Amino acid sequence: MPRYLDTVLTLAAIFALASCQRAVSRNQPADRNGVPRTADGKPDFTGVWQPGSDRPGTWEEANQGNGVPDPGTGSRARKAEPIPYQPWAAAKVLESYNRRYVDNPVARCIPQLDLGGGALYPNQFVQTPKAIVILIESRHVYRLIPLDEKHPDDLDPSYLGDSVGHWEGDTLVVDVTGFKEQMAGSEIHSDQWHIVERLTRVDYNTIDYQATLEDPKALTRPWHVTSKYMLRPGTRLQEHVCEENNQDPTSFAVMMKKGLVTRK
Amino acid sequence: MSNTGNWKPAVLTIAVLGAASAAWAHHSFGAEYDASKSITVTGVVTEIQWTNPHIYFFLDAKGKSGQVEHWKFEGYPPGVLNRIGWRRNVTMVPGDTVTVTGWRARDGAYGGQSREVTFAKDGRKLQSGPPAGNGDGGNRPPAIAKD
Repeated sequence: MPRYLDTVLTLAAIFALASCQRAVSRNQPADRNGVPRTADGKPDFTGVWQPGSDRPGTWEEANQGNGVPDPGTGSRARKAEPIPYQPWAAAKVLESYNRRYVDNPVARCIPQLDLGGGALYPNQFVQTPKAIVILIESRHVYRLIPLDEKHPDDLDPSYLGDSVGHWEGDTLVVDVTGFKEQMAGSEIHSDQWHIVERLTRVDYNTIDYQATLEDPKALTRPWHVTSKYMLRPGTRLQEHVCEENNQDPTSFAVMMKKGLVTRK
Repeated sequence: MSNTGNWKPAVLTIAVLGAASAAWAHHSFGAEYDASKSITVTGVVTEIQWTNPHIYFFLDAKGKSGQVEHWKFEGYPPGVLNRIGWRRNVTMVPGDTVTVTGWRARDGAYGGQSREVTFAKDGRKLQSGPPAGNGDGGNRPPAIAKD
């Protein structure tokens, strides 16, 4: 066989494979609500999103006026009932409040789930038919959400828990369990914390977020949170290595030593 | 974990007002800064630490009796600032005269949490840090409510 024929055949094979790949991965057109669809017909969550907002547009457009949302006054889109703590847990939170949350693990760069809040930082969703990955700028962590799989039997407790997901129609349902307990800060939970999140992309710009949180050791009944994630075209995730220059523990220790922190 | 004596009926619920979303903001504003002590300081920038999880910048300002005060201010992390218009080594550089509003450190040192910076060179005003009370649970104590 002449050498050039070899090359022609190889190139033909590559082209055939490439076009086949394109056909397989080609997304379906957006549906009538403007929700993009993946090749397997699922709503496509791919993109960079801002949690806890309800304004469409780029980051700068959506956060004009007040720069960024004022988390201390509650983000616009996130709504949560008062947390139905059991009395001992309520006492624990009050104790933490009276110490002005110096013991809050985030002050030591410990990550936590945003639960539809945390509007200062974007998240990036990466979607495949078998898993959804959420890259989280805040503290530079990620959530890996395998689809149609069970939690491992030998779960080690972790700060962000273990997530598994499945589709219920157009809603991504994520079950999260296997948490380390958190006993200080503005919100606490035991190792029995169990969260079910429901994410529905309702239009081009918006993911509706709902979460139900149970904790038989610390809550009297399930706690509900609703929020939105807004698409932020053009926003890039940046590095957020919290350990770089975290002066908080030292500063808190100085203030504690001077007796300036505890509420009287 | 056990029930503590002061909390009798199981129907008691705690409402952590405003705190539900505060945990993701400044770690613990109130542990370091006093929300009742608003400050406005004008001075010349001497150093900027463009670092996570917060930036820090330093000013030389003139005190009431003419002495130089060395101020240290905290602000949002670089990523957050970048998204609201700040550019490293461009927006604020040593030698710039700026006016900072914010809240003073609890111990009365020349330090504070910055909220907004105004630049003398172009009159530009940029948000630089969170509002008072973030991470402090607001100014209201957690309310005890009946479920």
